[in-house]
Amino acid sequence: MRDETVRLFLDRDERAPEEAKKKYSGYCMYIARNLLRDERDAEECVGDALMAAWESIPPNQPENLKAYLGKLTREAAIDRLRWNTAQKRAAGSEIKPLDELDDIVGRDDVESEIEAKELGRAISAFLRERSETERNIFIRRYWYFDPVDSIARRYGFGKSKVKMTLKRTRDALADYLRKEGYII
Amino acid sequence: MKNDKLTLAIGEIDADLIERADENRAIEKRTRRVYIKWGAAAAAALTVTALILSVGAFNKKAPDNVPDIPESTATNVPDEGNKTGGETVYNSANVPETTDNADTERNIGDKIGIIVVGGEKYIQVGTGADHGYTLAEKLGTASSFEGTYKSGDLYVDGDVYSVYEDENVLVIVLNNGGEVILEKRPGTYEAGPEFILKPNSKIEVTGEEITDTAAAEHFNESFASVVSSLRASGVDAEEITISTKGFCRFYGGEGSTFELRRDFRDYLVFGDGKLIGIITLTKGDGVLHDNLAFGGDWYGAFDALLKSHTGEGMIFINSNNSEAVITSSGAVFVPVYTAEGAFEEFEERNIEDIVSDRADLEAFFGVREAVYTP
Repeated sequence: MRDETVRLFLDRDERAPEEAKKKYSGYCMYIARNLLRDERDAEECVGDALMAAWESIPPNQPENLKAYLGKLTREAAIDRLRWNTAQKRAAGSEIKPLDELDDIVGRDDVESEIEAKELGRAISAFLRERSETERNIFIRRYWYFDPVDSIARRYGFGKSKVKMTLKRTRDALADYLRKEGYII
Repeated sequence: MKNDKLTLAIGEIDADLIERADENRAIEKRTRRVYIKWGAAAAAALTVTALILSVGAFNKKAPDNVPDIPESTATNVPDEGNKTGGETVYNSANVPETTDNADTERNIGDKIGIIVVGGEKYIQVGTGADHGYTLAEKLGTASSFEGTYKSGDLYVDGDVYSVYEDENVLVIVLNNGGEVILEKRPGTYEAGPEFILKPNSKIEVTGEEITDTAAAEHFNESFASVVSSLRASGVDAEEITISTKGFCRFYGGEGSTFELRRDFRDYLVFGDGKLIGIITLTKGDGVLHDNLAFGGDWYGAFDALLKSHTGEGMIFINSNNSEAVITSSGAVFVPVYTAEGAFEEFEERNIEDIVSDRADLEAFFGVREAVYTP
């Protein structure tokens, strides 16, 4: 069942961003905060995400507005982190989840012609083959940017177990992407 | 952040997987049993008590089961000629009987909610649905965790959620529709040796003022609801009165600064001369909301305390993990708890144990909104 707020976006109803903000700003702020650790930056990212939603719906017609806004927020937060990093504003610990992904591939190892969307589909297919726990832990860490201790608390595991699970999943993903020809 | 393409590709993971990773999923409970030490932590009950029943009866004004009372009963309106002993007299006989809500929670006014999740203790810090947090993950039912919900002390259960905004906060959505906010509090809550009023304490008065006049007007409108709720819970009295003067409490945190929230004001409810409830008025955007607490085991002790100090000013101080009632004559009382965590009586303490000689007690009594004179 499609979110009624999506209908507002599709109808170009100017209440749409405000409605979306009311419903999902907490969710989006959570994602942005996890990556940026700066309230003002996070707020700006959520604002950017709402603007991006306004500009992209239509033509896009997301079935799941929450996840869609989360994705836009995530992208805005990554952009902001890039900028902050370039300006030497980001603390080292803030980019840890992203740095961990270097385990999977190096800077230039992804086939250049592969689009992020295609790679995303491959990662989804990979994750669907993993156990629910492994999949959720991976997504919590690299999509939501949850701190390890937060994941541990969420699932009732020790931090070491979470770290070990993440490491195993990263290694398996690297093998999978290599085997499927996505990375060299 | 060397590999941007992979980072962005993860952003393209199918929405259903993203959603499922965010679904309410019961936390895997640890088998280690963690027993709650009530100690002085539960002392917060005195303060929080008045909030607890926002979950039960009064958070929503004018519930459906409360019959309208005709305007002619406006004789209940507090006015100068309708008081006895400083209290406004309302005649509960004017309020029609109602049998709805007969299962409204009783006897929960003496406990605050505490649960232990993942080995961490969370203690109630407020109630009401307007807390501003966004519910994230459902961790399970409150009664499935160690704490006051499991023990049945609160006579109500609900679902425990984490929130997106703060990993130290949990919200319990109670089965009766109320919501309780809890914060992680490390360590135990044994009565600390520290002073409740610390040296060189500072006072910050905040919030929009609730005047006693505005409160009286509000009670005039909500009195029928108060009576109906009390009746529904088994409390009844020939004559119900609400104090015409309220009081605000001092809240202290880690440091020596105490906040007095003027938008958070308590009024005592008496039935046939005995304390039977406390209404906490809160003010937001200029609008008053009431929260009724009743049925606490400690009401008798509090009532006795009030009566034994008639004519003396009292202030109520909630420090980090302790609470004290201090009278203008220098008497100090703190709640005493049973081993089961019940709060049934007050104990008089030496003022030297509670108030540092470098704390300016006069300054606390100088805040007019804080002083209640029974």
